[in-house]
Order: sequence, then structure tokens, then C-alpha cells
Amino acid sequence: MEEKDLIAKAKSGDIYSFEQLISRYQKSVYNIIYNMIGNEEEANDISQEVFIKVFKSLTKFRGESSFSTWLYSIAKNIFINESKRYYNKKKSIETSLDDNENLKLLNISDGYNVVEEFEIRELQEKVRQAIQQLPEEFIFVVILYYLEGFSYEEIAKIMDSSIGTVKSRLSRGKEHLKEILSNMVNFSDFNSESINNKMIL
Amino acid sequence: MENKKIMKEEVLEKIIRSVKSKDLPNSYSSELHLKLLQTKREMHQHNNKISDIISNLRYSLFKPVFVSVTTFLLFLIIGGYFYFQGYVKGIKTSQGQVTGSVISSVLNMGTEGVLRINFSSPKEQKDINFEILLPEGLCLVQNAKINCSDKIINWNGNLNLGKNVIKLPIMATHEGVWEIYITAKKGNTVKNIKRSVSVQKA
Repeated sequence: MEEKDLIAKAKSGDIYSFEQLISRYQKSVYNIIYNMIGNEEEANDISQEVFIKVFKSLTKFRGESSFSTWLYSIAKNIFINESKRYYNKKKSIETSLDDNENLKLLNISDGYNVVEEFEIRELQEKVRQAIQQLPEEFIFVVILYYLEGFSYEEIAKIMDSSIGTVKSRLSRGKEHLKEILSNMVNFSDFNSESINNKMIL
Repeated sequence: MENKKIMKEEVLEKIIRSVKSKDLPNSYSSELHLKLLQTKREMHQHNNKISDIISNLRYSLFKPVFVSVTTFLLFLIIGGYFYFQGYVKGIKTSQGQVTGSVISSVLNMGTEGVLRINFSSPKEQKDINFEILLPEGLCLVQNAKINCSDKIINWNGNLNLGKNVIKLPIMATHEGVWEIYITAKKGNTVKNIKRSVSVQKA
């Protein structure tokens, strides 16, 4: 069934059509929240709250934008509120990493430097922690762009702001992230090739 | 120096993008489904309240017209009630008594009962979808085992002319007054039924 048909049915209160309609966004919304707060249970509840809100507001959807843009716009306020709620909590998290905990590279016979799977997972977790420490004005944009793969245009529509603002927030967010991560990860240990080879699990 | 900076940027972006997305928890869809059902009910109740207010307003303004319309609606409601109704019926207590056709039933905690849903249909109807939503205090009994994880029971089938009965073995697990929501759906037609079951200490 096409999206417009599902929307029409969901508007009339058909839960099954609504579930079909949102099925492709569930994982994305859940991951955005999870990457923001780092708590699976909270991510579960908050992301479901987003879909309930979307369900309640569906009759207001006029099709002036794409459904996905509209859905993320509705979700934006919840994301931002939750981000505010967690920001103070995040600030108190200390990264107690010392040099010994920095990631190590292993040399293998073919000459490439590769990072072991366990260490990559550890690194990913550190990146998540670093993202969670970002100031609230940057966190949403950084997650949408880097982790969820949205374009500048899409983020601008969702945020109801200009592309310039999105780019500026992204740039400043990345600077913050670099600063946070440099206390956790030794960048000189990595090169592009090793990341290309092994980073994406 | 500049090269190093570019390199660092590139590495940083790749590190960020390397974060793998998490899979949804197993119970995610069923939990969301329950919440959506609850939301739909609340929205329905809210709309009914608004309709009541409008009706009251109309009543005061257009009394003669309102009386005729109300009489007509009453006939429709009563007719609809007999056309398609559901009961929580015949729930057995621990003493083996049968409570009969009652709307509110009592079940002792830790005992098994049978949820009977009666549908009276004036004609044969095909492809009816039934959805029964069990509350926290009641669990489904399947193959002599208690199943408390599946709270939504779906059944699709046909209604015969006259009396139709769906039986569902259930177990009372928590004390309280619990509501069972039953939805019968065909195409765009939906019939929602709510019945209460009281679970008391044995």
C-alpha cells in the first residue's frame, strides 16, 4: 500500500495502517533518542511517546511537506526537551580514561593497522558518550547528520531553520565533539585506511 | 600541519559515522501497539465528550428537532446493541461456580476462568477481525500454561447467522478491577466493546 493510502487510513484511526506507516522510522527515532541519552529503556519510552504524539497529530498533516519531514518536525520538540532534561546529567559524567585505556592498534601480517572488533565497539561507545556531552543546541543536528544520514536540506526543514544555520551548528558541534573526543581517543593512532577497513562492523 | 588537520577531520568524521545503530527491543512493536490502542480509546472518549457538549447545546437551542433526532438515535443504538454485542460471560470461580451472563464478573486470584464473548449476527459475515486486549491482571492460558507476555489476542474468522461464541481461557494474576477491550473489525466498520472483570483475593 502506498504511503498516501496508509496516511488516509491512519487518519481515520486505523492503527494497523499507522504502524505500517511508521515502521520505517521506528529504528531511526529510537536510535536518535538512544544516542542522545544512552539509556535503552528511556529511549524505548521516549521514542514511543514520539509516535503517540504523531498519531494524535496526524489529522493536522496536510501533505505540504513529506511525511518523514513532518514526523521528525513533530518529534523535534520532544527530542529537544529530552535533550535539555539530560544535559545537566550528562555534564556530570566524567570520562575517567587514562592513557592505558586508549585504543591500541594491532599489526597484522598484511601490513595494515586494524582495530580489533571489541575495541571498535568500545570506541563507538565512547563516541556515543561524547555526543551525549554535546551542548543541546548541537546534539540533534550532529546525530541527524552523522548518525542518521540526513542532508543539510532535510535537517533545515525539520528544524525549521536555514541551511546556513544547520551548517554552522554542525561545524561548531563537530568542534565540540573533537574537543571532547580528544580527551578520550588518541587520533594519531588512527588513519583513514584502518578505519575504512575495519570500522564499519 | 594543514595536512594533519585535514587528516584529523577526516578521521573524526569516520569515527562518528562508524557508530552502529541499535536494533529495536523485541517487545517494541507490541508495547507501542498497546499504547496506540490506549491512545485511540482516549481520543474516542474525548471526541464523545465534545459531541455531548454540542448535543447539549443543540438540545437547548432546538428542542423539538433534538427530541426527534434523539428518538431516532436511541432506536439506532438499541438496534445496534442487539445487532452486535459482546459479553464477558460464564467466568468460573475457584469454587467451580458459573456466574452466568453478567457484564461485571468476579474471579479469584490465581484461578482460571473462561472469557466468553457472544456475538449475535443477523447474517453470515466473513473475514471479521477480532482483537482482544487483556489487562495486566489477566493472562492467557495456552496449552495448560500461563502466557502473560501476549496481551493482544487476534483472531480472524467468519460469523454465522445467529449466535457466535469465542471462548478464551484466562488466569487471574493480579488483584483489582480490570478492563478487557474487544475490537471487532470488518473493513472500515469497527465495534469496540469494553468489559470489566474484578479479581479478588482467594
